[in-house]
Amino acid sequence: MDDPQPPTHTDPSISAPTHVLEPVVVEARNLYLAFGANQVLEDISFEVREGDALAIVGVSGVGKSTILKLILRLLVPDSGQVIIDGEDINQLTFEEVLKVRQKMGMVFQASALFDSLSVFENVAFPLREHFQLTEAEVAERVETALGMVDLSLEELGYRLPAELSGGQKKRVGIARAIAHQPKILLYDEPTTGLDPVTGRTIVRLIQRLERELEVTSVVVSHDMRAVLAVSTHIAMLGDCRIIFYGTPEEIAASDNPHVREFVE
Amino acid sequence: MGRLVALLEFYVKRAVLGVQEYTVLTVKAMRYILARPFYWRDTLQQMDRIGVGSLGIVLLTGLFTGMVLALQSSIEMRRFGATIYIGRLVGASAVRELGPVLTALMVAGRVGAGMAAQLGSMKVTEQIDALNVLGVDPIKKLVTPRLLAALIMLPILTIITDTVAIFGGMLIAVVKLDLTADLYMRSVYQTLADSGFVFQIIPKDVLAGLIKPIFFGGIIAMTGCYFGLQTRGGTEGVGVSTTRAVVTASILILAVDYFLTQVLISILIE
Repeated sequence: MDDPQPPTHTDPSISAPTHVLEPVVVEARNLYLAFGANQVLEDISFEVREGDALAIVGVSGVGKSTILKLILRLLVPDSGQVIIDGEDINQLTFEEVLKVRQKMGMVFQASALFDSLSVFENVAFPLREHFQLTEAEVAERVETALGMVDLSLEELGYRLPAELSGGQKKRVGIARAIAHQPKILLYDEPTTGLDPVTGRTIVRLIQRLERELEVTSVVVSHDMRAVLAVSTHIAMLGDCRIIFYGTPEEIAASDNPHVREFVE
Repeated sequence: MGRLVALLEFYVKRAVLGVQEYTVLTVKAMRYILARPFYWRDTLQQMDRIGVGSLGIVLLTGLFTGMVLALQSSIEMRRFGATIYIGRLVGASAVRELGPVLTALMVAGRVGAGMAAQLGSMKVTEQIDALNVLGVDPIKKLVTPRLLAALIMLPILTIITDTVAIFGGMLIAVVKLDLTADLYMRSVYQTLADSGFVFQIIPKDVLAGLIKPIFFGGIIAMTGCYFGLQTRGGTEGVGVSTTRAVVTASILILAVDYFLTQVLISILIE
């Protein structure tokens, strides 16, 4: 049996198939930011395509979380642009920014659950704010979101955040972030402060969400094991700039001494 | 010398910036009262906390203030045989001044501190950021319901304080000064009627005494929320914000009371 030959095109009007790039969902262009005399970010540029997961790594205090705040426009850069789904968010009014933020979900380092609300009410919060849903629909979507992070509504739904463990809080934070089905998920140090076992569980959870929800993710972390597991691209910050940008394989093979020091 | 000037410049700039931020926050919070979505549940919850929650201290404040007013003034008035006018003194003092101001100071201590502490701890635990990220304006969700609740509840609490203070004065008048309740209440009514009526129903003194708490309610809510949202530096920062909120609100209440009194006298009385 002959080996199949690759098809040849004889008709010049038929072009060779090309790889179609997914649209850019999050883009930073030449961002500069200083707090007083303290320069934090200098000429930061990157783009994240739909379905990709960008990890921003670097030592503590280098400005990783600041980039997340710029993406959310909780901070405004001194110069440069942040483009979310085609919109330069620094040109928008506050009300317009609130609408853009509805496309995003954020998992905070310390979960940032509303401590006066139960787990159910925390997860239901974005649904009640932005959608005209009946209580039954809200309950169904809360149950689904909690189910995706392996939590039971019956067991934990009516507990207050103070009654949860660190890992449970993190999961509820993720459930709240995905409840309104955002396009973009942002994670701020998702494994920090957790024991190694719970940390690995959260990493597996993030991988599963990326697969099942097909969201675009930006993960800020200094946990290289987690970063290598969840990201498609990695940007390493150092001296206010991006000193390395590449895939997890490229960072693992990099001979840049700063990168090697961090990876090892 | 140069360092002193620089330091002075720094503090002046910070104070001016603070006033500007406070004003912007107040304007935004007031504008949102009429803007959708309305957070009625949050507003009712705050009305319950401010109104029902403060009822105990307001009742005690009113009762003892009225009693001590009657007791102290009776010493001087007895010398002139004027104890029958105790009702006038207690009524005028309570309705015009002590009711509104003492209610506001007590609520500032209790509710203003609570607002600063709650919003402060939400700030340091990133809950305010979480609201922003979830596409909800924290001013609309947190500040406006507190402002609206304070604007509604402070006049109601003041009416309660005034009433209880007058009742407290009556207790002393009847038990200690051998006046009849009827005589005392006539005396109270007379002093309120002397100031004249608005729309032939509301005594001007009562109206003036109810305009003040609206301003005081605004001061308490906005100062508590402002310092809460300005909190930095973890739990220690929450403590600092709480103290600043109570001190600033108390001073503002007393200062604004003076200027309001001037304005109200010139509009209603003169």
